[in-house]
Amino acid sequence: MTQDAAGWRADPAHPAVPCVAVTLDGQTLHLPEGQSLAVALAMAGQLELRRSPTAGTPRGMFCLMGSCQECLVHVDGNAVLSCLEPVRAGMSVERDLLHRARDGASA
Amino acid sequence: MSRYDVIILGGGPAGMRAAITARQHGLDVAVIDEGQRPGGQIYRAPSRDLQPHERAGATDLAQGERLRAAVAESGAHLLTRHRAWAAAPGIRVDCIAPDGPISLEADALILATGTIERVIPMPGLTLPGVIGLAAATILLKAHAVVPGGPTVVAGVGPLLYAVAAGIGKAGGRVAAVVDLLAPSEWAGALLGLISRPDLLARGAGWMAGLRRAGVPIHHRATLAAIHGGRGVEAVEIAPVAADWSMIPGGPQSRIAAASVAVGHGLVPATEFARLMGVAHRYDAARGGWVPEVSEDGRAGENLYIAGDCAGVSGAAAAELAGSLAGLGVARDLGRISDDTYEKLTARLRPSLRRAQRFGWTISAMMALRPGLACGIAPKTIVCRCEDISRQAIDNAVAGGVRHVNQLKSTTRCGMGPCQGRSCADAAAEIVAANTGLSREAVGIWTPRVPLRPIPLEIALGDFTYADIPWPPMLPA
Repeated sequence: MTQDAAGWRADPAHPAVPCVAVTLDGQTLHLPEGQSLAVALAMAGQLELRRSPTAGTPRGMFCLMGSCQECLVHVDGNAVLSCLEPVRAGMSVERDLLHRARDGASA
Repeated sequence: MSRYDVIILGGGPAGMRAAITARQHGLDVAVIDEGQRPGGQIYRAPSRDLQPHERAGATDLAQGERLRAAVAESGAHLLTRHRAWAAAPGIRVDCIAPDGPISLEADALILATGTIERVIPMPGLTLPGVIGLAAATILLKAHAVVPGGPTVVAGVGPLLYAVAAGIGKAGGRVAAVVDLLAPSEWAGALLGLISRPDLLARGAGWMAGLRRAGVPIHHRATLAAIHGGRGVEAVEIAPVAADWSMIPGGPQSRIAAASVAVGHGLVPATEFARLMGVAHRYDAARGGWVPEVSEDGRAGENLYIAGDCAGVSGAAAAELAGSLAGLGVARDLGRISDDTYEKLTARLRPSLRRAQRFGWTISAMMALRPGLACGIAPKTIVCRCEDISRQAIDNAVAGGVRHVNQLKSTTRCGMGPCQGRSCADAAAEIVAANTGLSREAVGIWTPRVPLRPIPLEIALGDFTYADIPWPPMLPA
């Protein structure tokens, strides 16, 4: 990201949503309850959700409608599309960032 | 196994209206949808309580709520959070429900599966922070979240301006709009759009807002590349010719960005129709491969296809097509007479044609032109799931590949978890360009179940080793 960049954030015109504690790879985060998990993670600065299985390049949410499968994470041990998964208190989210990871940029 | 008169696949405008209509004629209806609530993409239900005031998408939000209320009142079974992964004549649909796998049976099936977004790849498309244009509308409308700024909005069609204006209204910053079309092409389409002055006015409002905010709009231009290591840092903007090929040596400009929303048109989601054996033809002006259906959406015995999945024509046309499909099933299942069917459908058809005229003008503007995919650089990833580059596709074609199914089996392009939904158009365009064959000739992937990734134990079903029917031993 560029130095002066603003993060992914809620439209201030709408009422704020209470946050709940979840864990991401063991670290505690506070995310807006009921928000799409992928979007909530983006708001927390966590855009990278997985690595591509062959080249190991970083990937994140892309289609937000359950088609592209890029936002796959594990929630409480189950593989889910994080774009369609609402944030729930206490959920344990794990990303697959080490699997055959390389320091490859995709460009 | 649950049994219904009709199963409707997809709870967008076409599916909801089909359900309401079928219920009016006493049919037992199940609507299957992946979302938390019905709505589809355009009428996507907000993920939390949003204020439906003068914000981006307020009009769609209100219409979505009206339809959702009507379908909830209709008595249709709304099977939300159900992911369909197979369908077969008969009719049987297999889904993953929140509590596990279920199978549904019905006498008739209405496919209202909408569209997916086409994004023709460029270097850096797979970076986190790059999302589809349709994804950006969902982000803004259903989640009330703006992408990290500054954002570059690129591609083709009205969504470009809807998204750019929506980001601005919601407090985000748009660094630039990069539009493949020339202003003259927008002007040339006005005649086809005049039937919907409300939507034209909305579009004019977006443009005026962007101009006031001083957002630079690059016409006849494309994203040559998205730069960054772990996320988006900058984009390269390059001019294109009328066929959307990059002009060699044209002036490129690099601008800083933290996110990108990019989309190159909407494509009918036809995998279930193809799985059901419906014939398809290639029609670029309607989004690509479209099923062969009658004017009322009939695709076969007790099988109807309604809305954008039968050819991109917009939400207003989708609702009318949904009504027609609902009436068609009611007639086929003997709930209304042929006379009643004729009387009721005769009222709808003129409105459908009017709505289609508008929708088809938009989809024709977004029709894919050959230069865009031709210009994909050799190292650019085309198949996101399997990391297949343009070069690998070129090599396969040089080795004799003439059809996308051959490409899939020789390279794994289109074989990953998304089932080729993300790369279908780009891959087919490259095969067509390299071979000189038409898009019809290079074909479309044969759909394979499961159409969505499912746990292996679900695909295997509920049986033990002893249930496997071994042939009897040969006599010694």
